[in-house]
Amino acid sequence: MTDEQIVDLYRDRDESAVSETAHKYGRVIRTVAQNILRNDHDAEECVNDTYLKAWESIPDARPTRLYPYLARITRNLALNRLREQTAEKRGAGQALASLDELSECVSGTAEESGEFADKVAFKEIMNGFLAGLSPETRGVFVARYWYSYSISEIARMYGISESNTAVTLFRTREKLKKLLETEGLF
Amino acid sequence: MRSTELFELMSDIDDQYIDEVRERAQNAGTKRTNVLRLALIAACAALVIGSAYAVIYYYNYTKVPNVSSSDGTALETDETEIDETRALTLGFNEDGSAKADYTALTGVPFPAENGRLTKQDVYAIYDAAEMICERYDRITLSDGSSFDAPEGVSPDEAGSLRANPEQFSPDRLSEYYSLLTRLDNAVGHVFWDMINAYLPDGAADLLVHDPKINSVITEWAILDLASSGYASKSDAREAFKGADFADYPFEILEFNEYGDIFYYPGDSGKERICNGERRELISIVQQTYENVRLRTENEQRDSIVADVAAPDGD
Repeated sequence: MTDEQIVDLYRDRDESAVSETAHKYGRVIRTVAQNILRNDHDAEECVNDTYLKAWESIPDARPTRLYPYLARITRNLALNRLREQTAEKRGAGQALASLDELSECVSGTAEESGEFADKVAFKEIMNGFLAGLSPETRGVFVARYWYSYSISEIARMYGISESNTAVTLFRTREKLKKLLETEGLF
Repeated sequence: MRSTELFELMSDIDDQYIDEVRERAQNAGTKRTNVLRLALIAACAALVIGSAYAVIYYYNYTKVPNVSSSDGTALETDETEIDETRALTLGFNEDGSAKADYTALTGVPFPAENGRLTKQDVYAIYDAAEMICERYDRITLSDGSSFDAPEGVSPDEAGSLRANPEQFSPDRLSEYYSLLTRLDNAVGHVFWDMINAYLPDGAADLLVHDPKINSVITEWAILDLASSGYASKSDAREAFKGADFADYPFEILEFNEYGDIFYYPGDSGKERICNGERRELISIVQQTYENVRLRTENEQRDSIVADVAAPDGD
């Protein structure tokens, strides 16, 4: 079934929309949650919450590409859940490791933090940055900092060594840091 | 901005970048499944073939035929010697040459002196071929022909081979050399040219244009630098260490005997530099050397001019 047909099911309030979504994308969005949470039970709940969110939101929204739409919901739900777990001092997964790495790109302390005012501007800057990278470098970067894949998983996906992966990430973070400095977001 | 905000804001990147990685992950998963499937098929095939060989061996070599002479007395039969050609292992002599005669073993003419390989030759072949195998599944040449790249060895296996060079497989070596020879024939660049001139055009671009330039190339660079005016290989190594790598956020630490470059990325200990960066570093060193050479020539010329301009009183 095409994405468009599944979205139509949502809009028609047909409950088979959820089963069709699960059939087509259940496994891959579960990977998104699993990478961040590293816990089967939590990941499963996160996926179910994703279906619920999609059910609630799609009558208004009409995503042209269903997977990124769902994966983005899953990622945000997983990050929320991770934040709660961290507050409760429960275990956390690769997301925290990749978060530590990303901290090199920003200098703000907790006190300085606040909602970043212009998300639209950031989105443009980030997309421009990603567009300027080679496909492989971009993939490695997104796999690490969007999907929270481990270094070894990324190395396997791209057929490169783990050392090479780590160096690629390091150099890309350095580029991002310079860009954020230039744009005054550092 | 905190890193958590940055991480969360990244959720909004374009759909296409999210999809790209999903497709990549799926392809990698499919490839892995295919590899496992092939491995299973290969294991079954090996079992069948092995069983067949075992049966043949049993009947050929362990069952002494019941042969009688014309007078009816039983004859003793010699046990046939097993052909051990295929069991040869490439070891190294004390002088560094390979024990097995590569040319005789593989039938591939090899441009090494006396038809024998040095240890470095073997490493060079392995390294260059590994680089290709790691990077490409199928190689298309400029004449339009194409062929599958052999399956490369894993990093762990490569490490083991380094530590135990006697484990270098003649079959694998033959396969690799054949691969390199085909590249060489098709595009007109000799593999040994690549060794002698570590930054060739054209065909070798296939090898060096992506971030998989092999480790021996650094060694060749050092040798080349040493042979083009620097007193010794160790001086060239030192100069390499001392070159201005301002663009690199780490300190060059040391080289090993294979030309790998190591550095300290932080507190996590020594790491091998990635191949793409090695090529850039070589380029920087080349430029540094060229500058030094030009400056030295200019100084010498200035000195000669000064001598001519100001002859002594005699």
